[in-house]
Amino acid sequence: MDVAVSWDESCLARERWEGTIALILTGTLVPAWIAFDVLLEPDWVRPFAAMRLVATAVVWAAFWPVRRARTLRSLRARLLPALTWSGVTIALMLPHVGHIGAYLFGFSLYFWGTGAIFSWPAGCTLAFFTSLLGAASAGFAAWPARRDAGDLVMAGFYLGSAAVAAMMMTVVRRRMVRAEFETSDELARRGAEVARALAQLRDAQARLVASEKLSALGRLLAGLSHEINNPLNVLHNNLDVVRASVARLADVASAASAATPDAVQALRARCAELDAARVSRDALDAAELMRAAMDRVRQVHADLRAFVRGDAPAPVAGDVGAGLRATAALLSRGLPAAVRLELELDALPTTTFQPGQLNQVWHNLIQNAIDAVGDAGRVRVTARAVDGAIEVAIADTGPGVAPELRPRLFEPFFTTKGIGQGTGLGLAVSYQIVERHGGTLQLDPAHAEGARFVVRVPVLSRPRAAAPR
Amino acid sequence: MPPPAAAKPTVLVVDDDRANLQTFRIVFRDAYAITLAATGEEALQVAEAGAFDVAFVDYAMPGMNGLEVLRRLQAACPAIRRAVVTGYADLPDIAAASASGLAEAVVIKPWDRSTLRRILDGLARSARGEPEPGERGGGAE
Repeated sequence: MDVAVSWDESCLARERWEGTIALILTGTLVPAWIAFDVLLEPDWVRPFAAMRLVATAVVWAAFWPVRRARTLRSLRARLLPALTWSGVTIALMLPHVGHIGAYLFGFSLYFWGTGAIFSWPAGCTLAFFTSLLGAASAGFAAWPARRDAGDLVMAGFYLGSAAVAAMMMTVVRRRMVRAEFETSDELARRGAEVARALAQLRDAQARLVASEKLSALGRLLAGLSHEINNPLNVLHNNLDVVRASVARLADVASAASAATPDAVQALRARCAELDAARVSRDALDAAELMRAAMDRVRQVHADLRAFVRGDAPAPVAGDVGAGLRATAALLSRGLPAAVRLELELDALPTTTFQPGQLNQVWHNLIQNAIDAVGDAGRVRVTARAVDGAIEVAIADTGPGVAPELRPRLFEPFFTTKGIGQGTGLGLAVSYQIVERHGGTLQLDPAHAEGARFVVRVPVLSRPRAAAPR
Repeated sequence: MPPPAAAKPTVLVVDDDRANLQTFRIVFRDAYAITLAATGEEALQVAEAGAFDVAFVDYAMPGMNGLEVLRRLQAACPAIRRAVVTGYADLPDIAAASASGLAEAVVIKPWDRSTLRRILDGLARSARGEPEPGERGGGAE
């Protein structure tokens, strides 16, 4: 809601109550004053009784309209004339009352309270008191014989101090109460903004996770494309060899099947020219090369299928080791000759997990380890069952993680790799995935030679309540 | 009609994938005198021992990559014409090597028998200082 509107509503409620109290007090006290005058100063009852009774009537007449006012503007339009009328009446009476000090003190409190009601600019309060002071001065001027200069000074003092107090109240309300009001409103708005920003962050995070996966997959596919390209080259080029060889051999064969005994010499000459033995060997070699190439493509496909298997959102019950094996197989292709990727997996208990997501974790950790060892070294992947959990460790013989970098290791976008080499999200995303599986991902602090990351996920017979997304 | 054996262009083929080497040998047995090498180091040794018209080198190899092999070949045996074969013609390194003339031809894998033949023949003619018939054969793809 707009701050100005809510401020107006808050002022309306407050001014209605304060205004009602001011009207009741005025409408009760002015008749009481008439009653006191009957007892104390009967001389002054008659000339001013009518004026005071009219003021009382005006105040009571404003009572219901003030109670029913729906806007600040209409409330003030009714309240202000009624209070001003009664205030002017009181101010005009001042020169005529005895014990002026006590009266002035009491009336000043009234003026002060009246002036302080309004949440107006200080100028309005000043105008209100100036008019009352003017009315009082006019009263003194009209009946100069009644009061001496001392009373005049006293009247000025009381009215002035009431005005100053009311002004201060007005200013305080304007500045501090309004400021506080705006602060709380601002806080509420900021709170809403923070909630919105959080929702956006969560959304962005989900998209980052997806983009990190795409980036990792892109890198994996670039490697696999190389793996498929070579067998494809072998298949493509040997196919022609096989076809040509078979055609040439078939020619000779058909000539041989139709040959008469005296054509044997000619056939032998053709075979010699053809170099039938070599053509046959080439055809067999080419066929063997093609078979091996097919096997390679099939194996790549099988690993890839195991890697992306279960990318569905629902967790499945199965063997964590299968995905680990497939991921390691995919990443072991195209490794530098001096890099060894060793796999040592114990028989693991069946657990409930999200294979697509855990494969992403294995991929990130093994790829990091391979990147860390560079041209030569060893990456060792082990898995075992411990205390109702599955522990997978990926250790490498690379340079390890410098102590000053360790606290930032799982921060998003933190990377020591060059541009295009890593998104800086791999470990952060892996951490989240493992956490969603109810597990932990840590850098083994005790491991001295290279880096060793340890993943522990609990063995679950059914999906966690908050199923991994 | 196959050329006489002495006139066959000599081609040094370098690839870490044995199947690719064997395929090349089977496909081009009649066309070229072929020497196979499975690593960059082996290729350099072989190149220094014999005279070759063309070196046909795979880019993605563990250890010394294809461009590094070509660079060393260029220094050791400047007469050898150089072709690189790769699955990724748009790699910046390949483009730079092609622009600088380090790789006089870039062949995309999987290669095609007739196209590769045209490219290698062109390079071999240029190595022997023979005139090129018709279009130039050694252009980058």
